[in-house]
Amino acid sequence: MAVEPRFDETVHGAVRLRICGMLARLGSSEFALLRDTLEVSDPTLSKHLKHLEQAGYLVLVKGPGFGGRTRTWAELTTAGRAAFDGHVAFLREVIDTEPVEGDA
Amino acid sequence: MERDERPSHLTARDQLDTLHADGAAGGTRAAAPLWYLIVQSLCVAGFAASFSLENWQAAGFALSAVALVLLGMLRPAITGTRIDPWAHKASTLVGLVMTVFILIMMSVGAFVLAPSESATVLVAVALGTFSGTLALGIWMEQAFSRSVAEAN
Repeated sequence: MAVEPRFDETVHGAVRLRICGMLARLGSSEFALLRDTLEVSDPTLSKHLKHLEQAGYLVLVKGPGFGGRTRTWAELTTAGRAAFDGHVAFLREVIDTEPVEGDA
Repeated sequence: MERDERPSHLTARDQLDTLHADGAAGGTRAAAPLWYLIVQSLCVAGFAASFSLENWQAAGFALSAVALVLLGMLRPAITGTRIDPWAHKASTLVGLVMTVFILIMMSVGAFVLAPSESATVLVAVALGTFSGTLALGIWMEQAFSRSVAEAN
């Protein structure tokens, strides 16, 4: 089914877009995996995850980890997946319809 | 307002390129480490070798099965993601080949090891099962990484 291109201000932020991209590919993923793959600090990742959670685009679940540590897992909601897919389709549309000056 | 926020052609291309690069990195990270595949292969080799245990066959089977299930349960904690190779078509195909290989080696174990007391045969079956499972496991994880990287 074709995705309707739609600009999404929440997803548009560079880090938030990358978070959504990782979660869209990997499904439920752990905080440390996102932090290490995206190479961002803990506070930066926390801030953007909370932003996306408040928008209803992802859910954060705390679970047990090795050595009694608590691990945080993030997973895109249906709304989050739709917003991400729509935004990516929008970016592709921008590329297709707005050639750069000087491009052949 | 929406028009003001609209990213430029270059920004859009940069963002899509970044998503693509993240996909490749995510694919690598989502794959199980080599030690995990080695332990998995040891468990499968344990299945085939347990036919040589005579009265302890059931115990050998049960121990290998429990270890294999525990390993599967631990995978999300090890890789940091709940996705696994069975979620993608390319890696599932390799997984099916691995399943057939394991069934063949189990049959070999049942028909060759049970009546034989030769240590050489036992080692050959166990080593063959281990190395075959490991090779197919590595192939499966590589197919999985590629699928994650190429996913839209």
